Amino acid sequence: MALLDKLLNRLLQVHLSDGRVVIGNFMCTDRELNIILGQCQEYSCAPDRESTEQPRLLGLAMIPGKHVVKIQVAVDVDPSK
Amino acid sequence: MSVEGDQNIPNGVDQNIPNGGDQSKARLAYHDWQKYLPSEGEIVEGKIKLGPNTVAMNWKDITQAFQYACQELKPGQLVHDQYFSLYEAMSAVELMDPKMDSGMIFRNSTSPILTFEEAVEQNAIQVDNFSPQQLIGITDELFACLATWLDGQPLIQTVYTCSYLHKVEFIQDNYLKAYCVGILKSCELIWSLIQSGQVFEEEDFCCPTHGYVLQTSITNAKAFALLKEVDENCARNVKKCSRKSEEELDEESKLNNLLHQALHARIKLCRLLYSFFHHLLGSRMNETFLEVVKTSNNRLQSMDALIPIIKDSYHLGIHPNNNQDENNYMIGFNPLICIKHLPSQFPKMIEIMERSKAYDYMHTLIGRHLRATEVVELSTIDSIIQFFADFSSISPDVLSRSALQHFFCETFKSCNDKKSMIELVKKAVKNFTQPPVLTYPSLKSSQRASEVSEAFFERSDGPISRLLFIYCCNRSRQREKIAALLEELSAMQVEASQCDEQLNAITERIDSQLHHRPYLGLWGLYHTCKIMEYYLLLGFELDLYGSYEYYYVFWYVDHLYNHRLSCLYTAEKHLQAHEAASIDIRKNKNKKSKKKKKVSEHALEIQLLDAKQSMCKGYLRAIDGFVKQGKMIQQQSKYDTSNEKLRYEHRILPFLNVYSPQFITYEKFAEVRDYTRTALATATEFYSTSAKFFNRAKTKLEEISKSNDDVATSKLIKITKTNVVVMNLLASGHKKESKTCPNFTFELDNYFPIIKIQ
Repeated sequence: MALLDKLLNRLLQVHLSDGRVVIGNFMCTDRELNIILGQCQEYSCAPDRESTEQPRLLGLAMIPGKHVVKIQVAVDVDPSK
Repeated sequence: MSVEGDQNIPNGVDQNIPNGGDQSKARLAYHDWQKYLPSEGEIVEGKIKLGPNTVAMNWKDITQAFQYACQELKPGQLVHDQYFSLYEAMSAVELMDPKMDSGMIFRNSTSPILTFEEAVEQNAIQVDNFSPQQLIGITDELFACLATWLDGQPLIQTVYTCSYLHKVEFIQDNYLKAYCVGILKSCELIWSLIQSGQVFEEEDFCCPTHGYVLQTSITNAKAFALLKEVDENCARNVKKCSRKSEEELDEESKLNNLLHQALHARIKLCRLLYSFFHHLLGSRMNETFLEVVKTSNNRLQSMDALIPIIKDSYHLGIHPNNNQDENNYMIGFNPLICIKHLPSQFPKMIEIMERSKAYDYMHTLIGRHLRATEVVELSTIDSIIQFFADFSSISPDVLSRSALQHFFCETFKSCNDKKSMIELVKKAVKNFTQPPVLTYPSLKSSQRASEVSEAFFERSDGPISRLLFIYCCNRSRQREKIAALLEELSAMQVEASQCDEQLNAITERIDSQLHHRPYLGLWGLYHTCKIMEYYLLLGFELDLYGSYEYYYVFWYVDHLYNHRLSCLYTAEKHLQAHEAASIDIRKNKNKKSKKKKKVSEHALEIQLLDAKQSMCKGYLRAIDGFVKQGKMIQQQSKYDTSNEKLRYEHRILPFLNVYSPQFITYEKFAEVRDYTRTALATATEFYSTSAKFFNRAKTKLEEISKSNDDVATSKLIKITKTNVVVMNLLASGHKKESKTCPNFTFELDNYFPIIKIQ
């Protein structure tokens, strides 16, 4: 619960079951793992440093829990290490 | 969680982290919230695109922890920010639902969707050496896409599905290049014309607001030069072929002839289209707008003549293959090429219009534009208002309406010449009632009087312009706008009566013999009545009323006709008085013929209104009869007891605040109606009275048609004739016992139905 609260409004990257990846601000979730992301972008696969794909802008999007494969959160890595 | 979640799906990301060590050991920078993250979970690199920039990101996998946290929630419990509620959640697009997620269409195609540039690089698309049949096919398809866009479909899914438009510079073939540039530039101009008119609604037109507009580096001058060159080339080809006589030609040469002619006609059309819009919307250096209209008219006429020729040859072009594989798109067209720029909701499959239908559509469109150009020649505001009303009644498309607005505004409302609107209004009022303030030299020279009247004319600019704007809007949206307009008109009427009083005082001081009647107020009242009647009758066309509501609609329209007729009678009296006075003043000059023409204009309208009023009364008596015989039952809803009052007031609501004619309350209406119903005793009497009214209307209309035969009048005559017969039948006792209500069908006229017995 504390985790979910702290994650609100953070940037999440969610992988869908058909291989697409959506990136957006975490707005809402429920018990079934349905996730709502704000200002969402859709990529056909996870964008690495070299990819040039232009994302599709979806706005507010809901991902049904059963199609969620992987959830990642954007973190700041300590560069000094 | 899905089954795939249990497999380890690789991210396909570069696993190098700057410190070169094991990923899980990368330390998180100190942020308060990050200490809540689980310690396991790999961190990978990635990036996101924010606008034009790319930002590097590090992603930590928290799938397990997230899942466990969610399982601890109670069923129905949501985790959300305090500012985010279920109401906002409702508007989210649901992904992985084929009805809502347009990204899924993208997934279904097996081959990757290349952009035009990529396709050219990989030689996946042809850019040169087109056969004439290919060119004809592509240009026809592109034209059909244009027509589909003008019909209201999104630009991205119609015109922009043509890959060639995305980077016109890459096309090698001159003909195709010229055609595509012409179409691309025309689209830009069309969009700016429609945008400037502001008369479109969501259902009329899809504006390209997603920020994705195809540009080209080819300048206007270059584009015109290219089109000219190709046009002349084609003309030369046609001449070459036609030099041989018919008998010498074999099949192949004949076909060649046709192909060359077809190509020539198409490029000519494209060139005319582009120059038409460019000239119309461009800056005018040395010519007046009227000259622009004249040239535009010529261009429209040429386009009008070209389209049937083009349509005859559309079978020569290639069509998409009818094979079963999914890539049976027309060469150069890919409906999915712009899929990323579609709005995320409601993916729709747009069908491009069939080519011959597209040409018909554009032909009608050009015809409407030709008609719209006629507005620049009108000289009084009353005739302009009538023109706009007639134009609107053919339910024109959004481009024609925007063009009409443009023609009107440029001619009469350009910044340098604000006075012209005032002149139009003055002329109209003069024609209507000849107010002394505009005609008598003694009054004209009075500064105070002209100040007062000028103030009124300036004031009337706003409501009148608004009225013309409303006529250019979509028919279904006009009523709500008219409701707002009526308030403005009321204010104008109040001002008119004040002006009239002041002018009266001034007139009496100058010349005690003259009286200033409410001339200005009369004109204002006339137009208000007209608009109120239009508001009510438009409800029939838009199919808004239930048949049990027809009674009060026709009743109120009848009442409005009373007012309008009294306006016209008074106006005619004024005109006659003016004529008499001017004959006195200029005893020997023969101005009779000029004045007579104006008088008879009112006379024609008076006759027409009289006829229409009789028709309304005919309908009222007919419905009285139906009610008497139990054929038409008053709606009784168990939910509201004051049912009819509510409906009446709802229908007449915008008239509540009109200054004049005053609002008639439901109680007054019911009083009059019940009085009429008790005055005549039997249904037969109602039917025969109704028949008499229709007969009277018919006679009046036949008189009118002798001097002024047009389609509308003859339709009304047919309607009245049929209704007379039906009413007489019912009066004679036909189907007395039947409880089924006769039908009101609007097949011949939008406002006046034919009554048919079932």
